[in-house]
Amino acid sequence: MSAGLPGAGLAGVFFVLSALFAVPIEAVRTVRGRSSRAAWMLVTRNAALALVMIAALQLFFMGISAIVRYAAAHGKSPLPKTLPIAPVLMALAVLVIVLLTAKALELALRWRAALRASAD
Amino acid sequence: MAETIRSLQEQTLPPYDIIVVDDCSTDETAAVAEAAGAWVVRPPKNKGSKAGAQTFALPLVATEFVMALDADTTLAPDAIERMSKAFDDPEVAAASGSVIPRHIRSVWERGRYVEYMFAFSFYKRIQDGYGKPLISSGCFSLYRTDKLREVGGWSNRTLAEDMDLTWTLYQRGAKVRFMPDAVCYPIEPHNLDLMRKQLRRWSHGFIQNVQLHWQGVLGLGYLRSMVSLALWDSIIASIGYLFAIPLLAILVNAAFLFAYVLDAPVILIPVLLSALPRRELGKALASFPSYFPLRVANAVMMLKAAFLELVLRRPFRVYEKGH
Repeated sequence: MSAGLPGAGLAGVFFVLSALFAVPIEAVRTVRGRSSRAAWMLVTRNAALALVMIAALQLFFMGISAIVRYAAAHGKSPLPKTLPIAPVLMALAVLVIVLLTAKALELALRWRAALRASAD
Repeated sequence: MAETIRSLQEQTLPPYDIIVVDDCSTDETAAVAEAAGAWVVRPPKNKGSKAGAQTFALPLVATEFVMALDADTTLAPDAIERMSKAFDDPEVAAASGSVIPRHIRSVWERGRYVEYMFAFSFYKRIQDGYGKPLISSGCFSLYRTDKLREVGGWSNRTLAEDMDLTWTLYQRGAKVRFMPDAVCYPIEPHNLDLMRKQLRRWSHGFIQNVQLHWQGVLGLGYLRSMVSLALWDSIIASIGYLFAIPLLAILVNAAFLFAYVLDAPVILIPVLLSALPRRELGKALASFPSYFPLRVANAVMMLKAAFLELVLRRPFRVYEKGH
């Protein structure tokens, strides 16, 4: 089961990116002779699904935006025509910050362990 | 219970033994299980949790593999056979499969149906691709018996024993797999009261596992990323979902309410794609709106759990199964 986590959130963005990054990772594995047909099928499926999801999100936003514009009496809509870049970049920045913070914590723990070991 | 046992007996790869732990029940559990042909064992007193009950029976297992299955969960006829393929790799210690609610009638069951179809057709497959499924689901998982014994079986130190076990196995260098074609059908909470109990268990269990395993998880790259983002989503995204969006909608612009459904196509696409081969497109579309009330319930329960566990330091320890 999932842990009852709310919605797609940052984790959703992370898994979409993971699906896309898996393609070059699998390519490297193929070059090193460590890939398989089954692995490529999984990677291709997930990456294709991720791309379709991104496209669906963009189309959905464009559709909603068009409806809101049509409904607005004098053409003044609060929504842009397509997915605004700034919030997307902000979400990616937060994602990177969270991941880097976790990595920094790991390095800090290692550093502390190394310090203790040298003190002993 | 009888249905669960029958689904085990009718497997293409049937189990050698079916052990039912009657954890001092006061109903007809033992009689029903015995009549269905299972080996029923009863601890001298109630073990207080599913983990305790399962670990009680672990010494009785005489086979190389052992499967944990909830009493309310039936299996597709080929589920065990499909899941057993994960163990062709000798380093695999545990494997889990896809979960689909058996009954899809109430708002909560429908919401859960969408949640599972999304998770098991997208998240879980990616996690498996990176070799780190977040959890080997407690309702239906197969384990290598010796590996399970090495870690002491299922622990009741958290309310999410499946997550605890999965993360413990990773820290010991074992592999865990997700086998999407091995399908089980549990009975999901059908009303808010039962759903609240389940979400409370899962939310507190997640926070407890983060508290217990955070140092070990930090050293496991992809798992570290998933857990840190899950923690972020549990707390910060919940605050945004429950408080920031309504406030922005009231104080700035009503268009902020759009944020509640912004990711709808992201959820809907994998759900429809996995419903298609099952010929459940209508069911998936009809169930889709129910996903949003469940998400609100998830956010409320997760935020409450984080507040109680991390701020007030009041851990929740009572195991309530619900139905």
